[in-house]
Amino acid sequence: MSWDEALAALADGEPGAIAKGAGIDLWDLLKEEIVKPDLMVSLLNIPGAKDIAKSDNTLVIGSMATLQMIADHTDVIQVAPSLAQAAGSAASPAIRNAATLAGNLCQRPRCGYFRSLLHPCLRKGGGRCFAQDGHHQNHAIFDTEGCIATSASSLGPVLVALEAMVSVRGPGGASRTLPVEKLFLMASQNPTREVDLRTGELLERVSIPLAGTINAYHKVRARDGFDWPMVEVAVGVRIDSRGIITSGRVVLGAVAMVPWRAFETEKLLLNTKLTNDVIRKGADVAAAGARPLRDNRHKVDIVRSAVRETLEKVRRIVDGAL
Amino acid sequence: MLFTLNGKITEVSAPSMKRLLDVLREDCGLTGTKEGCGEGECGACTVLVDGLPINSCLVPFGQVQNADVKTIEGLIGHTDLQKAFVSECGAQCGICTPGMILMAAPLVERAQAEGRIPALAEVQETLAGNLCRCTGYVAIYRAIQTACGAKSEQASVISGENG
Amino acid sequence: MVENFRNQDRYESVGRNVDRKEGMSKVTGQAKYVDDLNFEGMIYGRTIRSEIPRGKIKAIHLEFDTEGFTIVDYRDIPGKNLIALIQDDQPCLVESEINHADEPILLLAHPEKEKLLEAKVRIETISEIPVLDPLQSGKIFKEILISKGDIEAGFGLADRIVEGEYRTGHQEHVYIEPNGMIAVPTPDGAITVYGSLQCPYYVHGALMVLLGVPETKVRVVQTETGGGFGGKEDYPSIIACHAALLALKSGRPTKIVYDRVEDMQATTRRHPAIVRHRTGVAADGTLLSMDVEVIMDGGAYCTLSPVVLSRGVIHATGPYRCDNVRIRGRVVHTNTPPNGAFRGFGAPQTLFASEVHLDRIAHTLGLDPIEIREKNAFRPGDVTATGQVLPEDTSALQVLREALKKSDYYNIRKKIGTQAKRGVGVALYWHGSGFTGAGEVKLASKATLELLPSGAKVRVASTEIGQGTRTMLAQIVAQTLGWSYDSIEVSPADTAVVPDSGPTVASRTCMIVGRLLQRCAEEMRFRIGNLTPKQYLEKHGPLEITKVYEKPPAIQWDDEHYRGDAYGTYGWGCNVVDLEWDAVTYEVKVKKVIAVFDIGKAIHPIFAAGQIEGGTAQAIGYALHEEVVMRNGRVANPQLTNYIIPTTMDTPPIEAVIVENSYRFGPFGAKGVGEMPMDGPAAAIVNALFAAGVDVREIPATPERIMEAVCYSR
Repeated sequence: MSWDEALAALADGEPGAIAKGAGIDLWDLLKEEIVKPDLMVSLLNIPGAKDIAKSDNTLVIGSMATLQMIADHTDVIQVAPSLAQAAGSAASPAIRNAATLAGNLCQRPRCGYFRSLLHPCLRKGGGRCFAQDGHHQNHAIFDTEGCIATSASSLGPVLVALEAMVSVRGPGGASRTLPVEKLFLMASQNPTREVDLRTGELLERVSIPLAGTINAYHKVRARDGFDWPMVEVAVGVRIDSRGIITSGRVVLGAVAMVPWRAFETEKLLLNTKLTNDVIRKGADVAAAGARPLRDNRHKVDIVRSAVRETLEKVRRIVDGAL
Repeated sequence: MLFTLNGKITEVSAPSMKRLLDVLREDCGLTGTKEGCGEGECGACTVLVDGLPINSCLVPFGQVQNADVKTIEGLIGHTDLQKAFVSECGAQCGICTPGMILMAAPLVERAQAEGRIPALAEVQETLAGNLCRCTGYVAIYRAIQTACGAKSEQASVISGENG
Repeated sequence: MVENFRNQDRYESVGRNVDRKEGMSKVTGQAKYVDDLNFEGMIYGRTIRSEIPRGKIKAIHLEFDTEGFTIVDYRDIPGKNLIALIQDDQPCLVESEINHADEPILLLAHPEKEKLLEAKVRIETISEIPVLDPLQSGKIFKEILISKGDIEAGFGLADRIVEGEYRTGHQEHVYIEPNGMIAVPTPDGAITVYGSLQCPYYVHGALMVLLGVPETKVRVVQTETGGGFGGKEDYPSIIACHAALLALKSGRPTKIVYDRVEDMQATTRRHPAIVRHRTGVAADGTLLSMDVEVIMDGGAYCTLSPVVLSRGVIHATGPYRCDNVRIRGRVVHTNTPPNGAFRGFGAPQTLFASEVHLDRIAHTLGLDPIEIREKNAFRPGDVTATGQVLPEDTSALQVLREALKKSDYYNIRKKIGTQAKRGVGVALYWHGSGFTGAGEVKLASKATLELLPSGAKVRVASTEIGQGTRTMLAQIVAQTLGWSYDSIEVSPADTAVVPDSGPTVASRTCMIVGRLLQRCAEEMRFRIGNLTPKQYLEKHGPLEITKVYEKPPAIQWDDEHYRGDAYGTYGWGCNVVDLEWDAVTYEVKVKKVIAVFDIGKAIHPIFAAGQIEGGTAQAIGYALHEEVVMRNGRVANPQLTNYIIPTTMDTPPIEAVIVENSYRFGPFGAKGVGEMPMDGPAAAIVNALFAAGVDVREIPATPERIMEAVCYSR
């Protein structure tokens, strides 16, 4: 099956047809009756869909590449070590052997109320967010007016930090390319969808510019093995020959429905060297604008320290590079 | 649908969305693959697909078309790893054991080929998605390392002062 | 081989790490667990449960095509609608009154799993206000008072009085094999049940009452069991009853295997507890008066709660001598799923409190935690709260000292100094082996040994659930007979062929049943004299020896006043935990756990160490990670994604050390081992946190609780 054949099969099956990769999240969604498809189109065997290849100016990763393939690929390790690390520490080894890049980006949130048959929550088109006054220790601290579930994608923040682009194929062969950042939808933008894929569209590949971005990733979780992150941070910076930051992104995961850019930190880093002082100040403002809930204020502290940790990692790489 | 099961080309007709776990247990009669949670958390259902450990409770049967699937029943001839699981008591209740062994098998094979004993951290990382509630994992690590040639260490026993 | 039967040197079994009897079948995937079995014409059963914690059933609506379904409600029960255990309060199926969420109401069965799962049943109910807080409960299942000396006089002598309240949460067993049963009817109206279980005769007894049939009409066969930890002690009776009802109504073998979510929602958990201590101490740390109050949440029905409370209160002083003690315990009703047996059986709750409290006492007095333990720990001849004079194998001090040595305790403490966020903690504890009080006498357990041409066969109802029952019992018999380990077979735990050896619980299998078999073997050895088994069988015909439990003569127990010898003997344990906590995430990282246990004799040292390592890991989960979230009386996190047990990545290095102070009435000196490792690590962890500046008094010590403790004390 080719991409075009998959698209045609999906179009024929409308409504009620869905595309699937490894189907890891899909099992839960079926069990929880969140999706009830009549037809599932597997993209796993599309030729080239798992390929990872470096060209002159980009590193291209097929959407069906598994997390383990990404983690182990020498080009990924060289160009985007933060991506290799995020992919290699997500879920468990056996899941990483099956789970795909597209599945990681498009998986639905892990909020217990969203996943429960008994709770017709906002994200399922219902009337309220049960987590607002329920259990929300691990929920969002940004954009917390409505649905406060968080994005479960660990690769999302890293790809945003790397200024990656995503290529999407639509019906009739139409394709579009957009920044990964634009793929994700804020809860306040759209409470029922997490990614901006329109009906019949498929995520084909992700391209990472080979721009010499120094990048690092840091994850904080409640236990060491196989757990969803409490907070994760991805940083990508470019420096000039003197070590001055010429552009940079600091992106937080597990704190909102989208990979959340810490703009205040980014502003502070620009045109500076990563000194102790800059790192401290940058970390201090990383949670600017956070509106935590009753029981997840601790995540604000965790964000600050995780950003500090990640910037320390970046500094070590910068020091090594100069 | 055709696939290779434990070295033999096998034809099974089952719905393509049936879990590989259920196809193995129900259609192929291979009950050595266990279900502990049904959601990829416990690893009891681990099998090898094209040599890689995966959770068979999360794989639709359709996905293994033409693939090479290996279950615990396919480890014929009692591998060193299996023997070490017995001698080092890596199996207590035994329900996680087939999954543990298949999860560890590629690591052991690699380490044996390279003539090295995998470090504890490497073993722990490999087994991070396989839960055992009986052993505290200690005996499992020992079994894996012993299978790679490590010396077996006995439990330490001290005589009483009063008895 | 036969001529070497009596070659003792060659066939030394006890103390050797022989291969597990069923080891090869487990590592090759050949071992058959309940879900691996299928019977001709078998159908699948499903349980329809209440969604509310308390109320009445108004109507049941079957919103599916019932063609091909077997449907059972309470009216289909031929005998009593009852799960027979201690009190006759728990129905097999709800008639009208719902007492907890996930209570079984209706049973469905169908040959196709998918059809069965699709069937929609709507239960219309009238809700009533549930009792969810044990402190607000007006219904007490059992109350116990233990009294020694005069506590007021003791308080009068005290230099300081230290008070504290400590809480422990629910805990899920998380055996990796969920519960399951298959009931197979026979044409003559009898029923055979195969399943994952610890206590064949509990299931057998429950089925007789439910079905109203004599014992010959019920047979229970244990299948290979994927972990128990107490979770397959009482609950399997319920599933067996359900499967039997469906099987009898349909006339077909019926399989009920829970999935993980149902298992975690509906089956039993560890009793949560609130323990309050008020202790009078002299300035030098001598304990002068102990007043302890224990409140346990039993859930909606009595189940095993009285016995759990009993073990809890008896252990509540910790392993310390004190002349004046009052322990008041009660286990109460709430509208939550019934709590049941779980490794440690009440002792982990009360020992957590006593050990954590002792460190607070030491802190108040400015004493060292070791010093206060050295001063007060039980010695042989000391008298417990129930008045028991402790036997010569009492070894609290030895295990404490070994643990300090093994952990390099003082050097680590010196090294840490005032280094914030790292601490070392100690817990010292005891655990009574076997049933409490007169329990073993009442049980009157039996064990049978049968002579075979090739050796002998053990016939007991004690089950192999991973802990090594088959292997260890065969070792005891082989050693006693002077035969090879391989010459001893072990019969499946099938009520058609094994006598009632009592339940496989309470760390009693080795010490009690092992001793029974040792006595069988002693007699067998005497009877066959110089003959080989084959010669004996040819000459005298079959030989089968059955022994019944005999109480060691000195043991006396008064159940009414809770006075006397609560247990034949005790195991002794000590943990030293070294940990760090993270000031940002409030996450605890345990660096190392030392676990030293006096178990009398390690029949199989690696198995014994395995019990210690596994129990310690389970206790670390109890202390730090495992939180059952209850929302309106219902478990809100019934999955392994949100109820987190330790993985390889968060199980610290555990070093087990076995100490052997032998018990006169145990086989080769052995006492119990299985439960004890669960008793101490939680307290050692919380004490290590205390040393590192965090005063938590409730477990699990989740990051949220640690944050609260840190922020509160600032």
